Amino acid sequence: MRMNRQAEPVRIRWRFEIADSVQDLAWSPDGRWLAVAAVSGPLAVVDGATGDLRQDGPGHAGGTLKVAWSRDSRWLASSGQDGCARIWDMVSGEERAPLAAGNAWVSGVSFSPYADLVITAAGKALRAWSLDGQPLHHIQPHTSTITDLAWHPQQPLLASTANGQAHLWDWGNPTAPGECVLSHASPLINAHWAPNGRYLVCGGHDNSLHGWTWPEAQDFHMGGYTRKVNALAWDRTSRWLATADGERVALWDFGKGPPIGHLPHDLGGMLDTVRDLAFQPGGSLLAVGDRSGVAAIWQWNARRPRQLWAGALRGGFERLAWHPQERLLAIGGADGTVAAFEIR
Amino acid sequence: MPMNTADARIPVTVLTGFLGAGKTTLLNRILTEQHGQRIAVIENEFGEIGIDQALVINAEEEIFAMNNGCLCCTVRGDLIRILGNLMKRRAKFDRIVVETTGLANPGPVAQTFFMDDEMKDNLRLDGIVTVVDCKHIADHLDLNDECRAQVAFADTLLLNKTDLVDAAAVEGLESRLRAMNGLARMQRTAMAQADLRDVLDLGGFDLQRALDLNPAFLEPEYPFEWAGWYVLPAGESTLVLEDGPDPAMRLILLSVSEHDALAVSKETAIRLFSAPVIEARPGDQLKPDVGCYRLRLSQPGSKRFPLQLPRTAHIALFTEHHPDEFTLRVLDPHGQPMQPLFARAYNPGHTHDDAVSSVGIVEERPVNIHKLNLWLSELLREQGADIFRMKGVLHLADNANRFVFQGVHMLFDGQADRPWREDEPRQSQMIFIGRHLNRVDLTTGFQACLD
Repeated sequence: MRMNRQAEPVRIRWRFEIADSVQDLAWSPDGRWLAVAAVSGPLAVVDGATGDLRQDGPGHAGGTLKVAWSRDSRWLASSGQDGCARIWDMVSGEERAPLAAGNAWVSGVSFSPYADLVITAAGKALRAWSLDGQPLHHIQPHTSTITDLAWHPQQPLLASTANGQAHLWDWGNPTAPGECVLSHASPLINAHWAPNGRYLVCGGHDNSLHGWTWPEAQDFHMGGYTRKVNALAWDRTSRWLATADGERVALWDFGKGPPIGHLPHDLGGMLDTVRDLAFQPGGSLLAVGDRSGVAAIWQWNARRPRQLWAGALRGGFERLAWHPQERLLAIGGADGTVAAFEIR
Repeated sequence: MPMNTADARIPVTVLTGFLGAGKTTLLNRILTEQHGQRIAVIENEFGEIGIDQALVINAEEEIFAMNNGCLCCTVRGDLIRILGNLMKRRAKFDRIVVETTGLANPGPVAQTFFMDDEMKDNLRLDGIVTVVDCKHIADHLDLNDECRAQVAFADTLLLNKTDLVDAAAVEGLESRLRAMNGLARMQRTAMAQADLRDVLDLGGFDLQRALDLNPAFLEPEYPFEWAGWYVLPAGESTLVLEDGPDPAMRLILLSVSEHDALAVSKETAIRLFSAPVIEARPGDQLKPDVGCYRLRLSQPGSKRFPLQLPRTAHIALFTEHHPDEFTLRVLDPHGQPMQPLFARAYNPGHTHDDAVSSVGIVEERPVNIHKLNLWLSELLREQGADIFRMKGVLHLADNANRFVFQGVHMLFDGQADRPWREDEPRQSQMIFIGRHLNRVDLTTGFQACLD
C-alpha cells in the first residue's frame, strides 16, 4: 500500500568523495562543470548533470586554495600554496604553463568577466595575466595580505580587500589599471558586490560589516555581530544581504539603500558555526550549511522567509554553490563528500 | 564558557627565542625525532627546514589590530589564515608548533589564540617555549624589550648553549630569569638537546610545580627588605641609624604575640606599607601599631628615634631597606644593643632592574567568579599593556571542578577543568607576569573577589 505523503523537496542527484575536506567549489558559467578543490591539493572536475568525473589530478603541492572559471567556461584556473596558479583548457584537457604568481600562498585567482584576463593575488601582490600565461601587469596596492577578490557585476572593476583597505581597480585597460582606494581601519576578510553593482560589502575581523555605495564610494557600516562575519551572500534582486557570524544567520534589507538605523531579520541560529551560505542566482532560495553538518534551505519571498528543508551531512559542511541556472545545489563537506542536491 | 572537561582542541606550542638562540636546531629535533606525535609546523619566513613527511608551512609575519587602534588586541593575520587552513586537515596531525622570528614579541602570536573566535574554538595554546642563548642573553635583556617579553611570556625557558659559559654564570642567569618569570620551567641544554616532553607537553598550569621550583615565588616583591622580631623591655628603647644610601626609609613597628609568627604579621605589614606614611624626624617618638613611618635620615651623623613601651613587648620591625645599609641598631633602655630573636630578609621588588616580574597569589577561600570577572576586566583595561601573562587555577564556591584560565595582555579565557581530588587542597592560585606589577594592589584586588 502506498503511503500518502508529500514528496521530499530535496533529492540527491549524485555524490562522490574527494581526498580531503573541500576547500573550494565552482560551477562553470554554462552550468556544465563543477570544479572541486580539496584542502590538501587534489582537484577534480565533474559533469554537473551526472556527477561523472571529467578530470582529476593532485592539484597544488601543499594545498589548493581557489578555483575559478573563465566567462566562456572554456578555461579553469586554480591557485595554491606552491606559489602558482594553473590554467586548464577544458576543450583539450591540457594544462597551460603554470603562472608564477608569487613566492607565498596564491590565495586568489579570478578571470575577468569582461576580457581575456586572469588576476592572481599572492601576499600583497596583484598580478594580471593573459590567458596564455603572459604577465601583463604587477601591482602591490596593499600593505598587507590580500584576502579576497570580487568583480563588479557590470563594469571591469575588481575589488580587493586587505587589512585596513579595500581597493578598486579599473581593468578596462589591463596594462594600466585605474585605482580607487576605499579606506577602512579594520582588517577586511571578504568582498561581495550586490548584483546591481550599487554596493560593495566586506566582512571584517572586528565583528562588523563595512560597505561602500558605488559609484559614490560613500561608506556605511553594519554592526551588532558577536563574531566575525564569515559568510555573506546577496540575493539576485540586491535587496537582501544574508550574513552569518558564528551560528546566527541575519538578513539585511537594502530595499531603501544601506540599512542604516535598521535591524536585520534574524533567521535564527544553526547548530554550529555557519561555514557557507548562498542565494540561488536566478531564484529565491537561500542555502545555509554549518560545521556540524546541518543544512537548511529557505524560500524567500518579499515578506518573509519560509524554511523549505533541513537536513544533515555527516562530517559537516565547508562550501555551498548553486548551479547558475537550475535549482541544483552543490555541497562540499569537511570529510570530502561532494554532492548535488536537486530542490523541487 | 563551556563546562566540558575534555578539551578536544588542538594543542599549539609557540617557539620563541632571540636570534641565534637555537630555535631552528630545536625545531629540527622536533621534526625528526620519534616522539609519537604528528606535528604541523608553521615557521617564520626565513626558516630553512624542509622535511618531506612533515607538514611545514612558511609564514610571513603580519600583525594587525583586531579593534581600531588597540595595540593589546594585535594578532598575527597570517596565522589566522594558515591555522584556518590547517584546521580543515586536523585529522592529519596531533599538534601545531609555531616558530616566531627572533625579534618578535610573542604577544600578538599568543593573542591570536584568544582573540579570534575560530582559533579559540579549535586550538589551545599549550605553551610558549623560549630558547635562551646563555652566552648572549644578558646583553639582550639589558637592551631589548622584545627579549624581555620573550622571557616573560615563557612557560618553558630552555637555557641553551650552557656549554659555552661557566656554571656560575648559568646560576646567575637562572636567578635573574626566575625573578622576571616565576612560572616558567627551566631546562639547561647544550645544542638544544632538551627533553622534548618538556617542550611539547606542557599541559595545564601548575603553580605548585612553580612553587616547588622556587619557594620564594609567592613573595618575590615585598615592599620591605628585612624583618626582625625583638623582645623589648619596658621603658624607652631607641632606634639608631647611621648615614646610609637614602635620605629616608620607611619602617613599621608591630606588636606581635608570642605565638605569632613573622609570617602572620607580615601580611599586616604589607598593608601598612601601602598606607599613607607618618613622617618622623630624628628625636620623634615612635609607637608600635600606628602605621608606616617614614624616617627622615638626611641629616649627617647618628639619628635617634626613641620608642617608649609601658611593659615588655614582642615587637616586629619591618624595614624598607636592609638595616645594614644604615647600620641600624636597636638599643634597650640601658643603651645596650638588642639582637632580634629572629630575623629574615625578603626579596625586594624594587631592586629588579628588568622591571619584569611575577606575582603569585594563593587563597584558600572560594572565589566569586562574577567579582573576579569585574576585577580582571578593570585591571586589564588599565594595565593590560603591562601584564604579559596571567594564569590561574580557581576554587569556585559550590563547584566540584577546578576552573582554569589564562590570559595574554587584555584577553583571557577560562573553562572548567577536572574535579578536585580528595587529596589536594581546594585553593585558588593566580599568577601575573608583567612590567611594573604591584603585588599589594594585585593581592588586595584578588582578595576582594573572595566569597
